Amino acid sequence: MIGYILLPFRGIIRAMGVDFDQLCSILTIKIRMDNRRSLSLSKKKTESNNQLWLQSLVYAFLGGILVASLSKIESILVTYTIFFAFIMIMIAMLMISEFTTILMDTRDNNILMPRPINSRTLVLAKILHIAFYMLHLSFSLSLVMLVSTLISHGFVASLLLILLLVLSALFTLFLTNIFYLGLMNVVNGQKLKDIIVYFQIVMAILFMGAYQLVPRMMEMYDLSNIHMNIEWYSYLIPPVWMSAGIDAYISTNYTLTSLIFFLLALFVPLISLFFVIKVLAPKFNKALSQLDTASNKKVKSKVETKNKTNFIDQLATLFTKNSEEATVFKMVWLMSGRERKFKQTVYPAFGYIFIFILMFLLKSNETFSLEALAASKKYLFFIYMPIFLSFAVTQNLCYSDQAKSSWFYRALPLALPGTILRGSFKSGMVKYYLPVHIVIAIICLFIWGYSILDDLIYSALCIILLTSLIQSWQQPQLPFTAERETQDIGGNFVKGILLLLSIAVIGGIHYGLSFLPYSVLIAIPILLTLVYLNFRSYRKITWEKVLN
Amino acid sequence: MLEKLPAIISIRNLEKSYQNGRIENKVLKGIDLEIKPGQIIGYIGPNGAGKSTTVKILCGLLPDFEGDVEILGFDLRKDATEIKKHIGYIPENAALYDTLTPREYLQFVGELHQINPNTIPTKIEKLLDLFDMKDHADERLNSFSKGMRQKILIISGLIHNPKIIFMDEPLSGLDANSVIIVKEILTQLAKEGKTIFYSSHIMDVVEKISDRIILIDQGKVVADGSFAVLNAKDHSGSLEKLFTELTGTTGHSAKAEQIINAFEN
Repeated sequence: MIGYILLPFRGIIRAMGVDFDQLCSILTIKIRMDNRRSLSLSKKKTESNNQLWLQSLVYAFLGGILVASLSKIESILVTYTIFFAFIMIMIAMLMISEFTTILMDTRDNNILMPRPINSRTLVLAKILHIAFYMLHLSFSLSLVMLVSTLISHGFVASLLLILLLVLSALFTLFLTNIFYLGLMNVVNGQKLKDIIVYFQIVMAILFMGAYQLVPRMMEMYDLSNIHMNIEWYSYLIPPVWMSAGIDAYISTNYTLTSLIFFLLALFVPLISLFFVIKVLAPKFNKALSQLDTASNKKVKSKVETKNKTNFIDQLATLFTKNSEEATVFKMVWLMSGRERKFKQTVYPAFGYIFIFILMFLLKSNETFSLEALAASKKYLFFIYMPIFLSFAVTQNLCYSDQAKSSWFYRALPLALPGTILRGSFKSGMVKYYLPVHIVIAIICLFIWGYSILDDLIYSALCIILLTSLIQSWQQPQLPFTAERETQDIGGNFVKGILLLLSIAVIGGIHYGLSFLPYSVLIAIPILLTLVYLNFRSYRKITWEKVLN
Repeated sequence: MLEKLPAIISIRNLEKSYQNGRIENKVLKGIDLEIKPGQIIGYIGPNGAGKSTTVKILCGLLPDFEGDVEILGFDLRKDATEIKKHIGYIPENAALYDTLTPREYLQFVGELHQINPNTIPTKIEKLLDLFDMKDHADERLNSFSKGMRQKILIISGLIHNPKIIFMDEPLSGLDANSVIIVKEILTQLAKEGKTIFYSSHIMDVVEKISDRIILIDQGKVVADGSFAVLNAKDHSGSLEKLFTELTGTTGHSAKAEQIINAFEN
């Protein structure tokens, strides 16, 4: 199919010194692999376009939310400026978070580099692969806007929008290229992968934030009369260049300013494309070819500070019962901070908690006041928020990037695996859940005063009990020993529903107890006993019951 | 006879450094070699000696190097693409496109080498069969064991019938039968006039198959010749002993004793 798409350009491609057949082979294989990326392990060959279609749907949905939110704005210039800013930021962020693994695939060094492919073919293949991905992204994100423009402003306006979308994608390509080259100059391959993980975490939080908060904020503030004045700095903002052209056409207001903006929108991306092909792409390929070798030849590895280890030792002594449990506690503490996949899955939960709290605060239509908040019982909502984090942590501790280390546990002289499971659970909860609960507790104490101290202890015990119950009810898995591909998505969904129901129940009970004097104080020792008994039940788990 | 033939690989003062921040790590410190056609070269050395770096440079994977390299009469800097048409590379780490099947992957490699598209499927079928991989032809590579992946790498390095074959620990992960077959293939290929550049630290295999052994240490050639010639000089008796003597890593028994003591105390 790629061959047919590129066939009309065959002459030009060959004139550039590129081998047309090799180019088509590389692009076909690359796109086939993109389609199969992140599909579950399948032994049989399965031809599927699901991944790209699924992504398109998600992006189109996101774009749709934005368009719905922008529909109230009257100014065309403001609407399209926000839209292009959204497109450019999203493309850049998605390129970095989703496409990096493809873009920085160092396997190409061993697979493509030894083949008789000239550098022009390699460079063009990479650029076209990126271009395909970027266009797929930008058209998915803009699908709703394109339809809306077609209906509201006609065919020519939507054609103009397509042109401007392509140009903004090109300019974003230039910016991301500079970002990558800058990063590759200062960090090695491993560090780069770590930075990308943090980008992915930020993206996950932004997605959730945009989905939950933007429509609410749009409702709260009157955006219908927002207008934008053209100042000197407007000439430095690329989304304004893009939107000015479409604004001039729709409002039939052709001025010198709009002409300048349109020319900037047209020529800056084209010049930057030329710069990408001539200068950045070859530099990028060269940097990439040295990325894995340079990181392999790392001269000095990171040294962990002694102070940090001492701190973990002290925590392990405080929270564990014996030396084996303490060892697992320390190991899980260190590993969880270094496993990229774990961070990628769990860290967004920190952001989600913040978003849920904001969402709850923005929900009420009355103006925000600390006095009104202090008079309410909303703390009962806030203090149960960390449960999402405790759930995310404990459910993901078993997965690893290199999940072949379960032999290590089985080789240990331990009669029962309960110690490992308990040490792992405690480590995850102390490292991730406890600090968040403490921060929320401090804020709540500041707003509601010491009278809610018993509620804070009660909620912490409830969360620990509920999380450990969910842990012990499911088939136990040793820390960092399972392949992520084996993750039971359906099972997780059921667990998620159960968790939400349980939160509703324990929150409801807590709310009821808050009306009975001293009832929460009386419930605390009962909960403590239940937590203790549940931890003791770990001792009954046999090696046969452990999944991996 | 061999001396009269022009060199198929000619390396003069080859140097290579890796930059890590401000620290420069010089891996190759001036390698000079002339390799004649039809030879099996055993390229050995301790870890970090520069074996893989040399192989990667010769295969055009690392374009930044100092010195001059000519392969088949072509300058590596100017005519890398032309050279790559005639060489095969089998790396140690089985880097493959995991979401593809062996059939798809080998078809892709065949197309890149511009083999006649009509003959590629038949060739793939035959090679997969010979390597006992026919039953796995349509399974994805990510489900393969290390040895199975290594077989696919070997096929992909030889599918275009190259004149020179560069191998970097090619037997890694292969079972005993496959090792014997690959060793036999190498001997047969050399008989057909192919040149084989075999980088490894498995002394036993190198000693048995190589016409000429080149030992490098800390980026320099420290010994060069057939095993018989090298042995005649040093009277070591085996390549392993020769290796330890020339790389200055003697006293293994004492070290082993120290390690055991460390475990016991």
